[in-house]
Amino acid sequence: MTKIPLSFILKRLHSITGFLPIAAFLIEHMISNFYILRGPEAYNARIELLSNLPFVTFMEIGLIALPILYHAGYGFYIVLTGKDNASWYPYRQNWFYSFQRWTGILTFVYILFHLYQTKGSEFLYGKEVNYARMAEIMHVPGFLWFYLISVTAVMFHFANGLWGVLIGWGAVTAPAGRRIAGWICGLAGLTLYVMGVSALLTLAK
Amino acid sequence: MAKNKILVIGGGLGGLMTTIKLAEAGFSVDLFSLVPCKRSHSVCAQGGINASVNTKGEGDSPQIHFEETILGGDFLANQPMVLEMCQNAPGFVYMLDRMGVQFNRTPEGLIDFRRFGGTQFHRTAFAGSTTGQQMLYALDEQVRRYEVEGLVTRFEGWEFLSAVIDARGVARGIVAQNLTSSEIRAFRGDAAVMATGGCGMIFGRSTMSAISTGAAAASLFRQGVWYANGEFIQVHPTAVAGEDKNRLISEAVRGEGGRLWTYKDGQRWYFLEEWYPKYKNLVPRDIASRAIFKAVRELGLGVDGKDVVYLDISHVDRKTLQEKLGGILEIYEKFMNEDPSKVPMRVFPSVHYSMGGLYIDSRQMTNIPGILAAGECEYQYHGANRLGANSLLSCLQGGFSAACSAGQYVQGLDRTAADVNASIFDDRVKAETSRRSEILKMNGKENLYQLWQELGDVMTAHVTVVRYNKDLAAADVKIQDIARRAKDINVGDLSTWTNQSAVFARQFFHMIDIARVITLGALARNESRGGHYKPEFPDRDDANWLKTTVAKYTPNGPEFSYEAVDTSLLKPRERKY
Amino acid sequence: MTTGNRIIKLKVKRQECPQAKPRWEEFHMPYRPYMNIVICLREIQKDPRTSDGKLTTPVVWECGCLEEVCGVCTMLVNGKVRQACSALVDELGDEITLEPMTKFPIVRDLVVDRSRLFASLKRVRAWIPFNSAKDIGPGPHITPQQQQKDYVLSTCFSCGSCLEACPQVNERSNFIGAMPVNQARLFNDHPLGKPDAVKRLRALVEDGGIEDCGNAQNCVRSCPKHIPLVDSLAEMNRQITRSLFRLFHD
Repeated sequence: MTKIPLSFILKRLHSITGFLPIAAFLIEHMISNFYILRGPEAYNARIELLSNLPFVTFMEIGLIALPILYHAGYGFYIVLTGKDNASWYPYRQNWFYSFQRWTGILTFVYILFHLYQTKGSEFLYGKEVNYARMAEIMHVPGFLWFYLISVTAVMFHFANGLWGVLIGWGAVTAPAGRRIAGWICGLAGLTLYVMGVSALLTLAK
Repeated sequence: MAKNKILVIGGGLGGLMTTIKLAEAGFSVDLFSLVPCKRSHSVCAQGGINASVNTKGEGDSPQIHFEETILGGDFLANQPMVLEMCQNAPGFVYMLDRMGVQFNRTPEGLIDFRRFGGTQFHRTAFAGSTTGQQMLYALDEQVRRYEVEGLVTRFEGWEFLSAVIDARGVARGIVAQNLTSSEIRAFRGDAAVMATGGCGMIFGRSTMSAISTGAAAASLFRQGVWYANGEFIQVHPTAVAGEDKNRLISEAVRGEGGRLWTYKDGQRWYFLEEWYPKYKNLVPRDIASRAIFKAVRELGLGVDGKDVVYLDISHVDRKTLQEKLGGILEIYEKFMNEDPSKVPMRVFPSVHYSMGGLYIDSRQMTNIPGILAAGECEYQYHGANRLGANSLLSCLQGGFSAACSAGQYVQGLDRTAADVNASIFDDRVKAETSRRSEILKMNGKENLYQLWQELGDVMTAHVTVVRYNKDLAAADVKIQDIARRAKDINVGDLSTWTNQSAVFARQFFHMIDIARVITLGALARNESRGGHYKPEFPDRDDANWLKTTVAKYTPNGPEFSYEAVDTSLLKPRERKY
Repeated sequence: MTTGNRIIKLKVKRQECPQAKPRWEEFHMPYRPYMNIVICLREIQKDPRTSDGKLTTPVVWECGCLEEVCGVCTMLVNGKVRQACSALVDELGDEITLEPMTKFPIVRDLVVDRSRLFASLKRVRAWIPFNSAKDIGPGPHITPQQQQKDYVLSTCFSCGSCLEACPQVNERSNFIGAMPVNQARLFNDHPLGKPDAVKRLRALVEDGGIEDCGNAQNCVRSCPKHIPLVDSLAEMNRQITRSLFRLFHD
């Protein structure tokens, strides 16, 4: 057995956490949010359903919080080892490289804030997370804008990251395959983005 | 396992081949190169390497390759060595194949061959149009493998200054300078194989790299190594003239169907096809260059009245061009901003190769025991004119043979360089160090680079395709004048850290020595043979001049003597194409 | 030749030695058709005077083949990495800046030390495990299609442009860059290079290896030889994923 280099394990783990638990959760989250469009009852029922799942706390911590923490932690390390140069080499993919890092940072900040406004408020002030609570937040224009911008960042980070995973694991290699994969990832991101934004705008109505 | 250390100077094809062969035999090698080996001038070889593998069933054979090489060289080459080279050629190509060189393939998956000048056979293996680069990389990779195994130590960024020769006249090592730190150091070695390339920089602009000054060979010339056939300089018919260098457009373009033409009476005139109906555009280089000179200078038919003729490949389909000539065409397009697959290329002859070089015997040994030479820096294998795609071959043959000879030589020594008293090494280092200080102190009125340009201009004007005795004599006077003025240069840089001006100044002094060897050798040789053409003596004169020129250094200029050529295998006959 | 009075202004970043502070010097010279950066720098050698007439040392820079096959004259021209020989003034404008590459240790003026490139070739075993230089016949048959694909990969001349343009290559990281990854692909693809394929993959997953790629894809945009470097990176990723178990199990 040859020793597996630590950097290799950490990097692949970063890639796996982004792809499996986090992206999967993101999809689930957007689907849940989509219930907002069906009205308060449907959305609240959905929340009810989710919070009554067996082992929900274990899943929230083990499958969502820890992977995000690891992904973010290692992500910050990656940001520190890079040196953006899109102003000298202003190519699309190089801009995406920079965006990936900026959106990663923004996403992490946003998640913390979002958590504070939902789970945090519930824990600290007993404000239950439901349609009414979310609509209350989205009626504050500053919050709405912050959410809209952040969701854009999240979805870019998701789509571009997913594409990176496909290349990084060698799932697509040829230029045509990479291009098609890029479109699919972009489309997936856009779909989730539309779902997320429409939910936000519905709440803000 | 042998304990001897052997020094190889030069990291191009010749030097790397020598190194591989020596390392394979278990010798410890110190390899010196001005630049990282992968940046050696061998990268510029485009067209290919000759080997009579006869893949196309045309009836080609090493014997025919030999005869055509001798004929191409106008019978000036010593024949047994050429025969050996041609016989080894298929083996070398197979060796490169096993090293992973990306030779173009036939549909069946065999190595493909194309046509080149001076033959009617498909004899030239090629890797796109960067064959020299691909071969160099393959050899460099093998040397790197030996480096990892500990048999080879590379000294890249070191320049050879001079050999260390003991009281008995035997070479015991070299002195070299680190081009970054300027450190001057002696290296002990039981033999030194010189593979330091050509001397195109003497001509200012040529197809050669900026590192091809010939200074290393010239330095040895001063130390008493003879220099042979210096006057035989190959002028390649097709290059793109540039202010910084003339960029080669390979003979492979004509091998793949390219045609040379210019306008005559408003019509396209394919002058080579008219004058040489059998070989057409693929006559040997000296003949093609002279033909272009005749069309342009004598008949005044250069394109737009300039020193330009057209090389046309636009009739060949784009895919073939891309696969077989991609690199060349891309370079032409980059520098000239015209697409050669659509419009003809504008070319003119340019200095390309030095057939002459360090004098070596049939075992690649110079007249100083312990100093061997291989590749373009020596004079064997090509006679008075080199056939296209024979240079890569001669680098491998020379390196291979030099390695074998060096191995035998060092094993026959009664004592090794390690046993030699340190004083001869110290003395040499002292001499070179004081020479360096003298150069750094030069603060006269002349500009080094200006003088270099003048030397190049005079050499190009008078010592290339067409030579007149009056002009050659005048050129020598001019060179001596340049040599005098060179004593009054201003180096303009006092630093000992990466001081390129000081380095080039020393190289330039050496270039002047060889410029005189070339010019005076040409002046003396009153005949026309291969690349050496004198309208006043238009014919080959075997009775008087079927002999090798041997130049020896004296403080008053080169001294010439002549040596019979070994023509034991093929009787000299008229050279007709 | 009509050149008019066009003057080329060349700003060169100069540095005596690694310890010295960099400074800028400006040189003016008359424009000539087909002028490239090499011609400009040689013009300075002939009269090393700055635009305000001050005598200076000739600019130190490297050049070799002058036809973009040796890679030695690579530098930053107007901020972008490229070869000086093929950088034509006509496409650069009349004000041109020259700087040394930034991802390699500086030596002097425009010269940098790129030895790490060759060290990385050792790391990925960029060679065929060759038997001997004896005449023992040809290598295996190779289809023209494979040759065409691999030839392009093997035209890399170690200029370092892909490292220079890569945001992941910098003083805070030890990423080897796209160049050695491409070489590993080349030799893994050759029938005679395959015996060492797993060893090359192992070298690629070690610290500073292929995992540090950030998918910015500047390498492929900056490669003067148009080598499909992103294909090479993706292909080696695939090979690593496919042989994950073999990589660490023996």
